[in-house]
Amino acid sequence: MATEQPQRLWFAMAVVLALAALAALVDTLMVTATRPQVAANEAARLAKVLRQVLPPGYDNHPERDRILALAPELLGSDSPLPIYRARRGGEPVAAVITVIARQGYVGPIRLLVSVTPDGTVSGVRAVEHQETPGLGDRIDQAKSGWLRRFTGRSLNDPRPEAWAVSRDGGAFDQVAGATITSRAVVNAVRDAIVYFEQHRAEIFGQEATR
Amino acid sequence: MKTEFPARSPESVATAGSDDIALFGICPLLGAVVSVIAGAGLGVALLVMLCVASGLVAAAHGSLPARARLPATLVLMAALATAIGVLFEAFLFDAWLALGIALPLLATNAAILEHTETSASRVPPRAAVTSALAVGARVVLWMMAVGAARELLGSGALFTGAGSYGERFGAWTVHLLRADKGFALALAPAGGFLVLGLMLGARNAIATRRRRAADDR
Repeated sequence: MATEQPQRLWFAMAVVLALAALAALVDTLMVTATRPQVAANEAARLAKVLRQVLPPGYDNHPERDRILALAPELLGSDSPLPIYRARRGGEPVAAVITVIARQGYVGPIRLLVSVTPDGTVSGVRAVEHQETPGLGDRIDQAKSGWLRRFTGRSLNDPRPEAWAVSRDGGAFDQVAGATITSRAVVNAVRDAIVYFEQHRAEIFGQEATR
Repeated sequence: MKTEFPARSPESVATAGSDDIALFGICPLLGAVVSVIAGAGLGVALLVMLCVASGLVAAAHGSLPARARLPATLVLMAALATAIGVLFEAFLFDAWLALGIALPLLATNAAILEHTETSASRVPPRAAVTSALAVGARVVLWMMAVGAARELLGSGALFTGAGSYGERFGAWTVHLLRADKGFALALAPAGGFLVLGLMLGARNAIATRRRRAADDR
């Protein structure tokens, strides 16, 4: 092997490069071919989550009736976040506000908060989080029903100053062992309603963004 | 200064076997094996990749220059891991949401690399795939066992997430204990290693006891 010719090395490198190019081509073709399927999967998943938070009876496709909202203070993100509108015969049924709870225990928590036109919450789901398994991850609907306690609440029930976990003197009990997570979620849900109350007209009036 | 390593004890020789190759493959994925279903999903993905990689390496071995073989295997593994991720994202989307972050790790999986290097490259493709199936089956069994133990300890349930492979499997999930009485450490990534370590310890203890019993006779 020590006497191997230099051109053999070049040949080996060429073979590996050719194989890498072939592999990249095959993977690229696969990604391209499955792109419509992946887009359909994402839309179906979004529609399913929206169905879980929205009140029944809407007749449009809220996952497509979407606007973007930029409000770093209330919605917790420096980039625009989607708001989905559910309607029945064109009349507003509810708006699903995306809000980021920045002060999660592990990282940001992405929530969907559905609010009916009178400012009442019809459902909340955590769609992205990295909270601790067995503790903070009970904000996940798959793990516990904790988020259900926001359903039917508004800024009148409880009053805005009571939108806090019970440890801080508020009206919502925290997930056991996960006060920081609970506090972040309670604040984010309240801020989503505040945003809704401040922008109600434009939320339902604005043209949908593609 | 030279470190003297002790000679391998009879215990370690007794436990060295095809399970050890399977364990190489499990360890990097262990954090994500939080349930029977997650273990089965990742295990089968690894098994499929192991079989395809072994078959292709066995078939291509003779026609590749010696120096190109290892880098070519690595290129092949990267391509296969990407392809498996793409297939999951397109056709098993819910499972992909649960396992997606672990799938790219298959590209550097030591069990696959070890199997293609030491056995698949020396036998015809059919034999390579057969032996890959044997190793892969052990991977699947170990992963499902670790997943089951963590799931039971952590959340008192079994088969959570079955629904992500099709709505009709959702009913498989069984809750044996109350969910809020779980042992959270079992579900944390470190819990995977603790559970696997305890299972290996139990296996070794049983093997040692059997051998002692055989020696006494």
